Amino acid sequence: MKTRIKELRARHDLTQEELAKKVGVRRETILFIEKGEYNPSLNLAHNIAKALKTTIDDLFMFED
Amino acid sequence: MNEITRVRVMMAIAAIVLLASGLFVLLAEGVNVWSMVMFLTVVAIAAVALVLVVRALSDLRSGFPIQDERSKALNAKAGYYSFYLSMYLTLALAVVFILLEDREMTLPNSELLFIVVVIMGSIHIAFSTYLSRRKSRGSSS
Repeated sequence: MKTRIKELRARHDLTQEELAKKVGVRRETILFIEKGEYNPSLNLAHNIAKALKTTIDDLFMFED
Repeated sequence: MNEITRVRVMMAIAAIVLLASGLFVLLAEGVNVWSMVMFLTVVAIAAVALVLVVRALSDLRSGFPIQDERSKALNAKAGYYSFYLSMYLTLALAVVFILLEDREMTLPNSELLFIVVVIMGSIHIAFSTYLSRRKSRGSSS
């Protein structure tokens, strides 16, 4: 799974720490999600998408 | 119960356990090499716990949760692995001591219990550290 979190985070001028605080998780969780090494729950994915003013579909790309 | 209260309750329980173990080690067996090893282990555990509590409190003050969905999932996985590994190690230890019993080379129950608890704790810490650095597939994996 690929993610556009890093790109959208930069567009909104947010650091990993700021995004983590906004969605109520630890900074490492955002780091691992950005690296594609952790698949977040649907709830967390929704919260991240909301914080970055986008949709889950736009944020995560699934590879077949 | 909010997270700060939970940390305080955990600290209080840990302090009681450490104090009780320290007193048990010093008073029950008298001072010998083994009791000193046990006492130093308890002190080392207390030092590690103190560092973790200070770090957790500083995270809380900075606005981060102590645990989130990823760390909860990793902790549960580490607990699952360490339970089975400790069970097999304890079984192996029991077999070794049953064999040694015939040669009158066994340890008292309190010391065996201490060894088992230290092994379980160390395995859990090792798994938690390993899993937190490793790629994980998701919150449920």
